[in-house]
Amino acid sequence: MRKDLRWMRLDNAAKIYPAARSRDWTNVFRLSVTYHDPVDPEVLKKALTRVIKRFPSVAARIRTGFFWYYIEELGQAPEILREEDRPLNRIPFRDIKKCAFRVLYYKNRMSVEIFHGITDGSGGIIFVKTLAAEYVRQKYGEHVPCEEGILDINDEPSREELEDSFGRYVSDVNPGWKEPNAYAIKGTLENDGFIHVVTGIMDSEKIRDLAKSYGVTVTTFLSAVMMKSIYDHQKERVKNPKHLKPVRVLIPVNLRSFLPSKTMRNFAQYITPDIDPRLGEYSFEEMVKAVHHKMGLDLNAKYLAAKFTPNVRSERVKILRVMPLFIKNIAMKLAYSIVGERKASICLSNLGVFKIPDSMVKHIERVDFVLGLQATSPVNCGILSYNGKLIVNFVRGIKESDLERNFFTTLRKMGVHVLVESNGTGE
Amino acid sequence: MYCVKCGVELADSEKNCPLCGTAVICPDGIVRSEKESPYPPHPGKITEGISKIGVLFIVSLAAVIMLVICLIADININGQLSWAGYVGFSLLFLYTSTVLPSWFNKPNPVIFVPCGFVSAAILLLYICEKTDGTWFLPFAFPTLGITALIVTAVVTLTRYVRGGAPYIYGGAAVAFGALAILMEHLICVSFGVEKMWQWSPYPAISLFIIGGFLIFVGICKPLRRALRKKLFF
Repeated sequence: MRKDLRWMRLDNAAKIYPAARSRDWTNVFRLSVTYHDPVDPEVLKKALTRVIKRFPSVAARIRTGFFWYYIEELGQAPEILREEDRPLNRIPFRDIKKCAFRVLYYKNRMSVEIFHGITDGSGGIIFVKTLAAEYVRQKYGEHVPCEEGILDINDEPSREELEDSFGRYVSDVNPGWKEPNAYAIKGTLENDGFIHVVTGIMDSEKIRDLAKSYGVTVTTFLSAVMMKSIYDHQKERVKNPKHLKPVRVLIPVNLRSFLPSKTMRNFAQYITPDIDPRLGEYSFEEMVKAVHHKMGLDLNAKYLAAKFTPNVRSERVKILRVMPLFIKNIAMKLAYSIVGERKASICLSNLGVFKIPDSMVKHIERVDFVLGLQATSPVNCGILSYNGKLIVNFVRGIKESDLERNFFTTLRKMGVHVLVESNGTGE
Repeated sequence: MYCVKCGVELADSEKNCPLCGTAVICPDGIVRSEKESPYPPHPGKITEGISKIGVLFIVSLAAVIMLVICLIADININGQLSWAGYVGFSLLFLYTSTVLPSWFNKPNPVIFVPCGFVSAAILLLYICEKTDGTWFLPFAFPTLGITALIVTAVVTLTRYVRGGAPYIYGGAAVAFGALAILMEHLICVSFGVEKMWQWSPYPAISLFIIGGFLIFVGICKPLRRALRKKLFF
């Protein structure tokens, strides 16, 4: 095993995740690739061993310093595990200190579950694509070119890939915003900690056409559908109009599209389109407009850079830097529990189209993106498109499935054919 | 198959609609090819143990809060440090001997046992000073010091010498027997008791016999084997 292992500070967005974790929750997301044949764990292990050297900031573990947590690259690949529990089963923090991701296999499916402190969805996709490509090379002897986000594993990782890009683009302006708390979805918690995964598979062309008919993007359209689903969810439960709360959808934005960066670490911000039902009834068209205009207003480099400025500045304050880690943890945990998840009703993360070379497409049947549950919010939604299919994955920690029912039946009423699959009821 | 309520198509692995729970209805004549679930069966909740660090943190915090409250109350009532000192040094002794080693994954008793004795000595010194006593140096210090030496020697030897238990504990028993005699002597000197040999021969002789027997067990292999056979648990 190498001894001169690279280490890095956690990026600005990642700092909250180790601190805000709890006994029942660590922020993890999952990317799965389903092949046409059963996954061979030995070949996968060989592929992983080759790939991890290219991704020192992703194939890494979280370590504890006196003042901060930090990332240390792995000297050797972790074991490939057979999936034997629910998806996104909590990774205890002591395991994250050994390896901050896990690679699982079950029948034809390979899944990578990644601690969010290491990278975001866009970084995760590059890692998973590169791993899937190496697996296809080794298993089927295919020539897979290094394109469509697949990195050449023989290259050395560049400095830009390992940088914390937040620091590079920090603005001089702190926009300052105060948002009222959003409507929180509630329900009966599953007693044994079971996490429901409900997947809806649709024709992506049909969704694109529908979005086009409203003159908006697919993400905007699906966010509006989600907003309507939550709006209906609230209306069914809250009868007194005075008690209605804003419906707000948190949409992560890949900053690499706005601020040039090649980083493999977290580099995402979010925007939060919302409607306030206290102002009156909203039609679906109005919701689409609300999301569309909010996106138009907020999605620009200047505003996004200004939005993460307070976080970057606060980590640079000297007095805060010299505070021992356990004091920082208490403060961050408190801040996260007070503010963190109360400002949005749900997180809807669309990773876009999962493009891979043709030589891989023939071996890969399906790709899934499953967002982990948040600490308190009981439902989350991850979306991506692959090979003409749009795959929407809901995760849910409560018994009631009303939200995803609202979501999929809304689409169904618009003429979209939805194929629904789940991981059962856990009984 | 389609859910009759939601109108969505259900994967062949679904027995009920995941959105509304309605059972899949197969019209007459249509045979459904049931498939296995794409996910492994749920094995039930895996309960996590309570975080040791968390418990230690809470215990430490509780000790600090208790100490601060006692100090504030004492100074407010008496205008100076009086009884709160006993509480403080007792807490220090308890914390050093029980909680402090637990912060470490593999606490080394060779370090922590003397630490416990040092905190006990501090507590006794404080009591002696506060009560205007003169017994600390002539009595408490040598008694505690020798006890600390014996206990530290026992834990060190137990840790590093394999198979030496009968000799170590036998030797410790003999040493404690001798300590009993020394203690009576120190009591006579420190507190002006004139008669010696009032009580110390009883524990001393008992401990010499136990110690001698244990050493004999250590020397005599057949006896050791026979005892192990009869007394194993």
